[in-house]
Formats: sequence, structure tokens, C-alpha cells
Amino acid sequence: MTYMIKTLNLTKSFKEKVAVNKVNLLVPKGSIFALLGPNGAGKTTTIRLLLGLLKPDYGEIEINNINVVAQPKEIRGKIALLPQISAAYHDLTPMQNIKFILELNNIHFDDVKNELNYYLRRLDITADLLLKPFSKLSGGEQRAISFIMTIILNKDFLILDEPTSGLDISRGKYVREIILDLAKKGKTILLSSHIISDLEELAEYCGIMKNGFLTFQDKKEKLIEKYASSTENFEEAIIQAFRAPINGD
Amino acid sequence: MQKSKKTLNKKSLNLQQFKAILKKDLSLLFRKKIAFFIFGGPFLLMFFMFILPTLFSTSTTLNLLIYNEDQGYMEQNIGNQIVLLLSQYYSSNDSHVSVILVDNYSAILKTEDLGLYIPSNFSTLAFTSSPSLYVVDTQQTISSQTQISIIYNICQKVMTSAIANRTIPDIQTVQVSPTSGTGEQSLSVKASIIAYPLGYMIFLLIALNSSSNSLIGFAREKRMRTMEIMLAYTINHRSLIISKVITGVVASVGSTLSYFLGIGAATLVINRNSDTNFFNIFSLNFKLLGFWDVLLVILSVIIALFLSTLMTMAVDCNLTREASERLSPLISIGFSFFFYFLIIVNPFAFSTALIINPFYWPYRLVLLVVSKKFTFEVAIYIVEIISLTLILVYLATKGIEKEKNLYLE
Repeated sequence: MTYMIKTLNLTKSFKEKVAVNKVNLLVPKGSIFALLGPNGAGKTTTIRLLLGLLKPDYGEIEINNINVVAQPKEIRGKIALLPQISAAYHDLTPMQNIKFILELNNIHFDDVKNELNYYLRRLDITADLLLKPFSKLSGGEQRAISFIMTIILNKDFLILDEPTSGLDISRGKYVREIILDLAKKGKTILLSSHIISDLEELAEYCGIMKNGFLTFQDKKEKLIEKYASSTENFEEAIIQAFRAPINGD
Repeated sequence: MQKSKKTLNKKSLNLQQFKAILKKDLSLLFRKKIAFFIFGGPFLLMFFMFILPTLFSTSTTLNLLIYNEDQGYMEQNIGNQIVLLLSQYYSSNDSHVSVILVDNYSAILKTEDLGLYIPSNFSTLAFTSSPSLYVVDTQQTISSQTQISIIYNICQKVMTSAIANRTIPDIQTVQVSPTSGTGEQSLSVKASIIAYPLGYMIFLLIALNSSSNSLIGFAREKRMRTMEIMLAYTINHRSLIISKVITGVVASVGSTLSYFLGIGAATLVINRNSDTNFFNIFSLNFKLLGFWDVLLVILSVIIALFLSTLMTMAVDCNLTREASERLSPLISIGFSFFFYFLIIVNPFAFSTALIINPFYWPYRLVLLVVSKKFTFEVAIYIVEIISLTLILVYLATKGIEKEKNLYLE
């Protein structure tokens, strides 16, 4: 099996608190990997370490054969990121934001025009919405635009932090469908979400983080097998995994 | 070969990214609200600052009659210097104020406008006790009172300078008292014309621009959460800094021009029937100074604003979002405040408190250059400005990736 992400003893502390503790993460290429954990487990710090935005205190990170710790510049622009909170220029229109993110990634608008129209239609973003300032859009519309700004970059590896948060039922469903389509095309997706329907439908692999430790990583079925009383109950498996003691606790 | 192609591609990608970032930053600068603050603010402020007093005063010409009887003291005739300097401030083409020299005191008393009498002992008393000026203001309007206060300031300045620059005769050859520092006399008349308006301009524009800088700076990027995206996608993080610097320069140039246009427009409205007053704005007689001197004045304001932008950026990059939003405008305003309140007392002041103030450097530099004093001091200010620019860019580049600044409130 080939891996998109390999970390070895990845460790990061903030003052007294060890946010990420000797994490050995393995994300197979072309998979949807759900990184789960209770609040403050270290998921966001792990994502920032993978992006090269934070320097680890200790350990190695390899993404698509790039050593992120030794060559942080090399990883820049190679990962598409959807942050937990919609990040866009509020004074610019969604169309200006999209054009900017394309230009920043050296992608010509005309090359992705059809794809963009397809995503916009699918997520019900009308032409008039595209011309309003981003700040005037509803939370759901902002989230949908941010999602499109992430996937339109056509990167091989995507980090999606709560992709359906704030979306209505219809848009949430289409976002999940799009994520599955991307995985079918061979993209690797690291997903962080607290929405159980997202995880049930999307996650192929699961990683459980607790107090900075990676306590589990394997196929979703293995998680259910290990932690749930019945094979149907994925939610129960996650809750039990969150509550399970860390080795040495 | 392959390696060089790869390097070239990387360079071209960096350039592409830089262009995209700059386009975005400039586009944000020209958004309605921000553009209104940065470009509209100085224009409106100066326009109304000049227009409003005219609503309460007449537009008739004020005649300033001067009778100088001063006989001088220790080879100094302060009265003559005052008359000379007044004639520089109120040029012969000025339709607003005309300066007329008269040869008797009774003409002053009979004036229907403004009168200034410099008594024969003025110089003597300036060196020994308190000299007196006799001022007549028959109009008692806001406009005439403003003129009187300007005249008083000019007289005060000339007198202070004359005393500060007197030569103390040597009593013994063993010990020589040092002469006072470089004073007004060592600088040209042009420098004295420029000094007050330039100091005021630097202070006001920095105060106005400091809050606007945070609208186009990194603090706002952090607030909008776009900073993380920018850092993740931008290969060379220095591009982010340089783009903000260029945007800051554009904003500075725009604000400065807007300031001048505001005064110019107000002057045109006030003096609709005059064809000369557009060049006499805010005591800066553009025709008298000449193109290059005016250009130097504008350039020094732009340099001061540029340094203020860099300071804001360095603070934004090195402090957390909330701290930078609160502190960065205060730092610039604080420096400009100390600069202005030191030079307002004496525009040619030269003290430690001023030398360590970055906004003093372009100000002093221009005063020296227009006086054609290309001394070592000029070189020092140029080096200081360049060094500070490099240091601030370095601090911003180093600070931009600091995790606490990115993720802590």
C-alpha cells in the first residue's frame, strides 16, 4: 500500500501542553481518512503540522514523498485546504475570491470554467450570489463557496475541516457526493468532522485522536468491530473510542 | 539542465503568485469603504478645514501694514529679519493678504485692517528682556485673527532663532564656548517656509492613515481567517510582505495627493476670482519654492507614511491579532505625536528625542536638501531610512510564520 501521509513520532507542544504526542499517522493514497477526536484532541494542530504552518518539536512528516519538516516550502501549494471557519475576503465577491485563489495557484480560469459551473449549479450558487460581497452571503452560502474554492484547485491531497458544517440538508448531501466523486478520481482526502452522517457516508479509514495521542487508525469496519456492540452502530463505536483509555492511562 | 528548468518554473510560479497577491491587495485597497477612508478622508478633511473658516469671515483682502523701527543689537536686526520672512510668507501675488511697508507709526494706527509695529528697541530687548510688538486688528474676524497669530508665530520664531544663534565672544583663548547647534540661519529661507506645513502634513496624514493601515494589513487577514490559506498556498511568504508594502505605498501616495487636492480645491473655491492662489496652499508657496522643492516635500511625506505602513505591518506580524489591532495604529500615532509636538515649538530643533523618531528623518532630510546642505547628516538620514525599512521588512517576514501570532487571539 502506498501512503499519501506518513508521520513518525510527530510531537508538538504549546508551553506545558503536548498537543500532538508521538503520532504515527498513515493515510493511504486515494482514500478518505477521517481524523476524529473530542475537542482539544490535537486534530487541528496535526493538520497545521501537515500543512507546514507549524514546526514540530520532534518527528517526521512525509507527504507524497516530500519531507515537510526539512522542506516546508515544497509542500506549500500542494495541499488544498478547507479551514474550519470559512476563509475568504469579505469585501470581495465570491467570484473575485474564486478567481484570486485560482490565480494564486497558477490555474487559468478558462481551464476550470466548466468544472466550476458544474459545482456552482450542484451547490445551488446562483449568478447573483457570485456578484454580492462575500460578507452579504448566508453562513451556508459562504461555506459552499469556500468548499468550491478548495476543490476547484484540483489538488491530489485535500484537507477538509468540517466541510458540511452550516450547510442545509440539500447542500450537505451534494457536498458529500462531490467528496466521494473526488475520492473515486484518486484524490486523497483527510476529513475532520463531528457530523456523524458525513463520517458514516464518507470515511473509509478512521484515525482517533485523544489528548494528543493517535489511539486508533484503521478501516472504519475495524473501528466498529473493536468498539461497537453491533456492526451497525458507527456512532457508538466513535463514542467508545473517544472514551477508551489511552495506553498507560 | 532539468534543475535550472525547475528553478525557472519555481521563479515564474513565485512571480505569478506575487502578481495575484498584489492584485488582490490593491483590489481590497480600492473597495468603497477603505478607499473612502484612505483617499477621501484627507481630501474632505483638508477641504472642510479650509472652507469652513471662510463661511465666518469676509473674502476681502487684508492689508498688513508694517512699520519697522528696530535699530538692531550686536549686529543683529531682528526687525529686518521679521520683515524679510513675512514677505516670504505673504507673497506679492497673494490676493488674500498684501504686505505694505510704511515709514511712520501713525500709518499703522490709522490702518483699517492689520498693523504691525516693531519698535526701535525690539532687538535690544530680545537679548536682554521681553520685547514688545504692537499689533492692530481693526477687523476682529476669524480670518484676521488667524493672520495675526501667524504673524506672531513668525516673529517669535525669528526672535528665538536670532538669540539662539548669537555669537558669544571669546574671553580667553583657552576655552571656547560651543556655538548653538545648527539653527534656522544655517538653513535656507525655503526650509523655514517648508518646515511648519511639512511637519503638520506628516503628523496629520500619519494620524489619518494609521487606522486605515490596519484595514489593508495582516491584522485584517487574521480576522478574516485568510492568513492560514495565504500561508498554505504561497510558496514564498516574502511575497505577502512585499505586496502589502507596495499597497501601503500606493495608499500613502494616494493620501498625500488627496491631502493636497483637498487644500487646492478649497483654495480654488475660496479664491474663485484669483488665478494665483492655487499655488499658495497652506503657506506653501509653490511658485516661490519651485517644482523640485515641492516634489521633495511630497516625497518626504510619502517616505514618512511608508515607514508608518511598515511599522504597522511589523507589529501586525509579530503580535497576536487582537494585540496588533489595538497597538499598531497607536505606535505610529505616538511617534508622529512626539515628532509634531517637538517641532511645533521649534521647527529646526535637533534633539535626541527627535533623532530617534523615524518620522523626523524624512522631515529633516528635506529641510537640509532644500537648503542645499549636503552634509554627513543627510547621508545618515538616508542610511537610517533604508536600514529601518530593511529591519521592519525582516521583522515582518520573520514574524509572519510565528504560530502564536497566527492562532492566538
